[in-house]
Amino acid sequence: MQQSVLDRLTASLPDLNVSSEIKRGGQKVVFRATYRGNVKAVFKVVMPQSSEERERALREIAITSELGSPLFARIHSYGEFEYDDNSVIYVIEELIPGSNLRDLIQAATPGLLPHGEARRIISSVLNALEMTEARNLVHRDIKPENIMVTEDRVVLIDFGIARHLDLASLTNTWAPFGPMTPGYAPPEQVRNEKRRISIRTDFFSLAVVTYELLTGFNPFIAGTRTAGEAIQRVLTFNPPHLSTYGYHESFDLFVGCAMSKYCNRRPANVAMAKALFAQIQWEA
Amino acid sequence: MFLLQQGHGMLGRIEQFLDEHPHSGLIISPRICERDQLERYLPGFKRVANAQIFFDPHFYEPRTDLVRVLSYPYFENYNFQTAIFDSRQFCEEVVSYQVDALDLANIILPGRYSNAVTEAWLEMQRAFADVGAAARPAKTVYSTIALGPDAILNVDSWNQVLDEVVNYPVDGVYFVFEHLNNSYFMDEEFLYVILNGLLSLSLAGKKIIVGYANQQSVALAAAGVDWFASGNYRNVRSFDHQNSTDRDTEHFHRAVWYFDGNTFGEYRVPALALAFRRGLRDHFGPETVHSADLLRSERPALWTEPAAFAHYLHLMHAYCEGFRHAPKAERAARAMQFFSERQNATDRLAEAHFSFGDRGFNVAVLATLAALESFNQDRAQDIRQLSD
Repeated sequence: MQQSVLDRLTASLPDLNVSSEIKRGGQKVVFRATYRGNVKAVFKVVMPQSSEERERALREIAITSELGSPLFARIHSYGEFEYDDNSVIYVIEELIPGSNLRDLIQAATPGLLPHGEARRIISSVLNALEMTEARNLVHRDIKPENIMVTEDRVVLIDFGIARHLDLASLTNTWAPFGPMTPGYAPPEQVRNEKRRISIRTDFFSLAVVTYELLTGFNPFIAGTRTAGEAIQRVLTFNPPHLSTYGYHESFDLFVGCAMSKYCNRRPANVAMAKALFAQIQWEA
Repeated sequence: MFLLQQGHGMLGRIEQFLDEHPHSGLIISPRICERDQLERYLPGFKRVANAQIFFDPHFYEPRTDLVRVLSYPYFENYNFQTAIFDSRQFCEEVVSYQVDALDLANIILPGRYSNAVTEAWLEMQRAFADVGAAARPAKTVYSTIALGPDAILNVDSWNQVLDEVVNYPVDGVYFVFEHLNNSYFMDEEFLYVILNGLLSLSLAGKKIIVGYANQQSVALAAAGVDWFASGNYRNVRSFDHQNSTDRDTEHFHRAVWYFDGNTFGEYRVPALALAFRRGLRDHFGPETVHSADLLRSERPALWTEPAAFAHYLHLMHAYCEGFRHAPKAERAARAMQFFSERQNATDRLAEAHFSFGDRGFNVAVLATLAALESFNQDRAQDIRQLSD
């Protein structure tokens, strides 16, 4: 993305003061910023790859901005900036001060969070999905990097724009596949089977995150050398049950069901996923 | 929970059946019924309070030569050529006929029969679902899923279908399928696979109608099926896609059979007479108003086709009602018990050296129980999540 475009965009947003760049991908840039004086914020800019992608991104950002829950980053403002017959979408959202789950897993010894913390995190993500399910939204990119954890909040971030930011750059590399994160995306997302994408897609990814929290590794990524290998594993490999690692069989009900290769065999809705999650015997 | 799957010669009896059997309904078939006949009889069917009326658009074989089927208006200006056929337009016309001409509350969308799941088939099915759901949001809309045994037994293709259907924007599914035997499933694997698939659809909140059902199909109540549709002749008690091309099933050889609710077999009257002579009368039943004379006679002889049909449909309705009264989460256990009772009755007759004949259910009862037991074992957690 050209610096001149970014300069023109930020010049058009007088309430925004961009301070430093956090990350940059093929079609996106993320900055640290302040909004309306001293509100700490994240400023995201993405260049849609198609008119369809643009419309969907705008629609989903609009819905997400109305969620109004601490389970999501508050969206202060969003919009579209047009230049030279092109357009970029920007989002100014709340800066979540804690660490993301990836950082927490890596900092933990030996890569495992206390059960109480794992339980709080997964339970919170299920609550977040309950809200998005009601609005017929699918996150499509649940992974530790997109779960922010503070002392009193768990926040599912990058909703509605995830694939338009982080995933857009993957599309070119993995052209035969859909936008996705290898190792977390379920088979229907890997195969870009759009008609099969639903809340069940998010359940698969959440099950992988759960597995990772409890074992310290992603079963589809551990031991692989390339993203292609991880993708292949998602399609063909059935990870050992959590009970083989000493966990109670009730963990297998939730994770095993949600991690099914066939989405029709996963929980049909969040209420069912929660019912399975509630049966887990954490202390056994 | 019970629907009449309209067969030949039924039109005159449907209204009475609906009157006498609360919580029942009807699926009208263009294969059997001329358009003008249907539109003449329909007001009478609608008069029956709470009767659920469905119309099967009969798109199983798009290149059908059946004149009755082609007489319906959505087949006018219709040309099923891959390059020309507009599935959305066709579906809109099917919906329009059911809503605007027939004024039905339930809509069954068209569905093509397939024994091999292809992307083209999946795409057409989804297009039908999208059009149907969008066309009349106030109606209860069902997608037709019509599959052959190869498509169902292949793990990937069956799950491909299910993975898509759970996301259809429709209220329910009208499921018809061919199986390996033309009568009963004698293959427990097949029944197990169907049970698993239908459970996925139930859990996804889809209402399910199993069409062309027979007495064994009642086992599918275990998966939360809402409606079973069955009829008088055997050609409406199991699905055969070839009946949708040009086969005239009216000239099938007819024989009169007695359906035994205790054992789920069907027996010829001479076989019954021999059993009665041997003192086995008490093994047969239960008695209905239609079969009382037969079962009470010293030497059963007089058993007419209308009585045989009425008796069968009356019992099917009763069994479906029995399941309807149980919460869905308990129906799998109830189905086990139900078919265990049939097995016990069958065993008692076998011990008495009764000859079950061509339509004895003794060949299928163990397979049914094996499938149900495996299903209960493997999907217990999911079954508990079924809600009414």
